[in-house]
Parts: sequence; C-alpha cells; structure tokens
Amino acid sequence: MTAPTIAVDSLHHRYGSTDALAIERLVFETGSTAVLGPNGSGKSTLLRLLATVSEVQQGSVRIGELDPTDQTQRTAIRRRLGYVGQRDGLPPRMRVGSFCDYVGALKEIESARLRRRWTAWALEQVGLSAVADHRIGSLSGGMQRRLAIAQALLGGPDLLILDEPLAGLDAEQRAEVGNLLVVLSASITVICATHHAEELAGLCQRAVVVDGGQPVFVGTPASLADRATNRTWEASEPAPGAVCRAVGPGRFRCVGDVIPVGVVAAIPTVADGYLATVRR
Amino acid sequence: MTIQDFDAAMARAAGRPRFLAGPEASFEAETMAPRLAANFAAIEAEIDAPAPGRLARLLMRLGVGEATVPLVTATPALRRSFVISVVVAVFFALSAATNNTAADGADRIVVFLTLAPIIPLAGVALAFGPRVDPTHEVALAAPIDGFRLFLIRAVTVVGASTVVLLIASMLVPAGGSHRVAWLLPALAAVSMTMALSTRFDPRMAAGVVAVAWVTLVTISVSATDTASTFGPTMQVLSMFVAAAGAVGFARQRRRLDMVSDR
Repeated sequence: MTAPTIAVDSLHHRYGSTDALAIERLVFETGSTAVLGPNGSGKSTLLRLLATVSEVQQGSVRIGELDPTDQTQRTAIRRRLGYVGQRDGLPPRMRVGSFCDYVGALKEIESARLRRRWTAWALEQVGLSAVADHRIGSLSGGMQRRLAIAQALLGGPDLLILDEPLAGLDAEQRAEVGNLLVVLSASITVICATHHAEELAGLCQRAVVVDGGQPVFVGTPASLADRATNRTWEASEPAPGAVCRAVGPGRFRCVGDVIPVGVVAAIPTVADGYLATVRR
Repeated sequence: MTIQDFDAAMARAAGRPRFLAGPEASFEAETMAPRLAANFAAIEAEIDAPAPGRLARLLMRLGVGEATVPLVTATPALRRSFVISVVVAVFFALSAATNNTAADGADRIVVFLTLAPIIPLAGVALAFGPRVDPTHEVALAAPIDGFRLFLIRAVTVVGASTVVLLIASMLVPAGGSHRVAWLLPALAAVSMTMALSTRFDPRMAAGVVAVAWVTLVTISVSATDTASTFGPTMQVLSMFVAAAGAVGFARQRRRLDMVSDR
C-alpha cells in the first residue's frame, strides 16, 4: 500500500441553510499537512468529509482513486484510514486494552489474537503499553489524546486524519504528540486540523489555511511565514488596525499592512503568516 | 486484515525511532532485525493479554464469532444507563401492575402490556447514535457496516430486556396467556424505531413510536376491552408493522454509514 493523495473538487457543504465549505480545488499530497483556521472556519467539516464520516453533499472527494460516495469504495477507504475526531470518542469506563480490542473489531480485525497484537503495537507506538489495563477515565488528558491516536493506528492505516490533536494538552504533552506525528508522517499521509498555527504547522510539511469555509492559503509553513514579511513588528503598545498579541511585559507583536514609522521589522513566524492570512 | 498486514506494519514500526519508549527501546529498535522485533512484540502481546471476561467466554461457547464478541460485550460497557433504565422500567411496570388495588385484574395487565414494549424501545434508543455513544464517530470512520453494528447492538439490548420482561410477566398476578401479548407489539415498536433511526436520532424515533403506541392502546382500551385491544387483531397488525419496519430499515441501511448534515 502507498500513502494516498487526496483531491477535493467543487466541494460545497451546508448545515441547513448555513454555508460551511466552498472549495473549488484542493489537493493533499502524501506526507503531512496542517489544516489551520479560526474556530468555525470549516476545518472540522473538511476533515469529517475527508474521513468519510460526513456525506458529500455537492462536489467530489477522491482518496487516491477511491470515491467515498460509492459504498464499496467508501469501505475500502475506511480500511486504509485512521481517524481522530474533535471529540476523542473514548468511553471513560472502558479499559484501554478493551477499547483497542473493540476498535479493532470495528476495523474488521477478525482474529482476537491478531487484535491483541495490533493493540500491543499501537499502544507501544504512543507509549501507553504500561496502562493497557487502566480505565480510560483514569488517564490524563495527554494520555487520552495519545490513546485516541493509538486507536487510529490499529490496522496500520496509510492515511491518518486528526482533528485538533494538540487540544487540551500541556506543553510537554504537545511536544510528545508533535514528535509522534513527525514520526508517523515519514511513512503515511497525515492531515491534522488545528488553530495552534505555530506548533503544528512547524511539524508538518505543508499548511492549508481555511477561513470562511474556503482555502485562503496552500503551501509550505515557510511560505506561510513569508506572508508576514515586512508586515510584522514588535512594539511597546498595540497598533490600531493591526493584530497584536502580548509577547512579554510591555511588548506586543503585531501583524499589519504597514510597519509603523520608528519600529523595526521582526522576522515573521508561521503564526505571524497565519495571522496575516486570516486577518480581517 | 491478515497476519501479513500485521507483520508488514510491525516491520515498518521496528525501523522507526521509538522515542516515546525511552533510549533503551530506541536502541533496541535500531539494532533489532524487524522480524525479530515483530516476534518479540507478538510474544509480549500474548503474555500481556487479559483473559476474556465471563460474558465473552459465554458468547464464544454459544458460537458467537471472535469478530462479534467485542461488539456485544462492549455494548453493556457503553450502555450502563440502559441496564439502569431496564431495571427502573420493569420496577415501574410491575409496581403499576400489582399495586393498583382499586383496579381489577384486567386493568393491571393493561398497564403491564402497555409499558412492556417501551422497555426494549428505550434500550434501542440508548444503543446507537452520536448523542449516546462516545465511539459513534470512530465507528463511522471504521470499515464495519453501520447496519450490522446497529443490528448487533439492538439484538443485544432487546434480547436482554426481553428476558427480563418475560420473567416480569410471570410475576404479574393476572392475565393468563395475555401476559406475553406484549411480545409482538414490542417487536413492531423496535422494528419501527430502527427504521426511523435511519433518518432521525434514535431517541427521537423511539419517543415518537412510544407515544404512538401508548395513544393507540389508550384509544383502543377506552373503546373496547383488554382482550380485544391485545387480541388477534393487534397481534396480526404488530406482525405487519414489524415486517414493514424491517423492510424500511434494510432499505435505508446506507444512511447509518455516514452523517447527513443537511
């Protein structure tokens, strides 16, 4: 199996009368892609469509050569897919090993012995082998997030779709999950949505910025950062018309259209590029 | 999913830096041959494997396949609230049937027969769907057929509640053969709920069916008597409704595979 390329064409999606997505053309190459965007921008909707969880209303999605609107092909896609939704989907009373066994059965791993081997392998990949007999509810937030990734790894997917994998994690846990994603993306296609631009885009080979249901940037994290070149500065007070965030006592980092007179331009980061892209 | 697929994944994994397991494990991964690493992992998995629970062993003895057992045994774990609802509902059904001293035997059995079909209905409502199942989205993204998963869970909860209700029906002090006249209406109600669940949230579907059932019985009892209400006409009607529900459920089965945001 080779990691698939994903192509989205003329994709329009609505919730009732509300437009959620309008994408003319978007391609996810193999490797890792971060989908960035503000809350409500359509990131999760896009990922749910790519993960075949939501029905395609208009337009097309192709995972490799497979079409998720066809039932047989949809099942074939799901056999190659690992998915972590915005909500972890973890039942707190179940034990870690039993949960993986259950998800293994959902993934059509029919032999109990083979499910045990997959479970041991997946838990080892995320460093949770020692807690296989613990109840999920007793795990820390970071361990639960890693367990959610472990269930996605069962069956050896070559496409991994993760919605907000860093949400609710402390700095150390974010580093652990980030490292794991880098390792995984060396051999499979990984797509993850986040609004933590700096951390995740720095870990991925490509970034897609979605705003108002449309992709407003597609490229490398470095080229996203370049969008804020000559538009980023640090000053002692926020500037009107610019997006500014405090970076220290009495220090603000701003992204705007023009650098004010008397301040020095800063080297832009991915987060600056992201803010320059979604700034309204 | 075959053992070859697993071996291939293990071989790939053995070549990766296993930083999360610490420096010793990383060294082991870098130096150990992939096949040997896979064998060790398999042995560890067998040694560390928890013994199957009592229910799982019982199901396997009864011939339930290895692939289905976790789907059945996980249902009670996910649906603890269902067990509580069964116990509470049976308590109320029996209580209403036995403590209504002002009523005659026929009235008591009417209460039981009216409430009994609602209990498996509640079980089905709590067995499937995004609002009651934390793993619903994980299951949707998995290759398992949503129709099969819903069916397995429904059979599990309906089977469990039917056993409880059959025992309860033996305790109802009046009614004779009418004691089990709830069976076919329950089947019809469950069947219709499952059919409606392909379009609506299962809880809403169960609520609509329950209200329709109680309304039907209330009108019928006020117009005739218990024997007529739960008599052959009701039983035949229930069979037709159950069949119609089953056909509808089977025809709309693909709707259980994805979320429609329309």
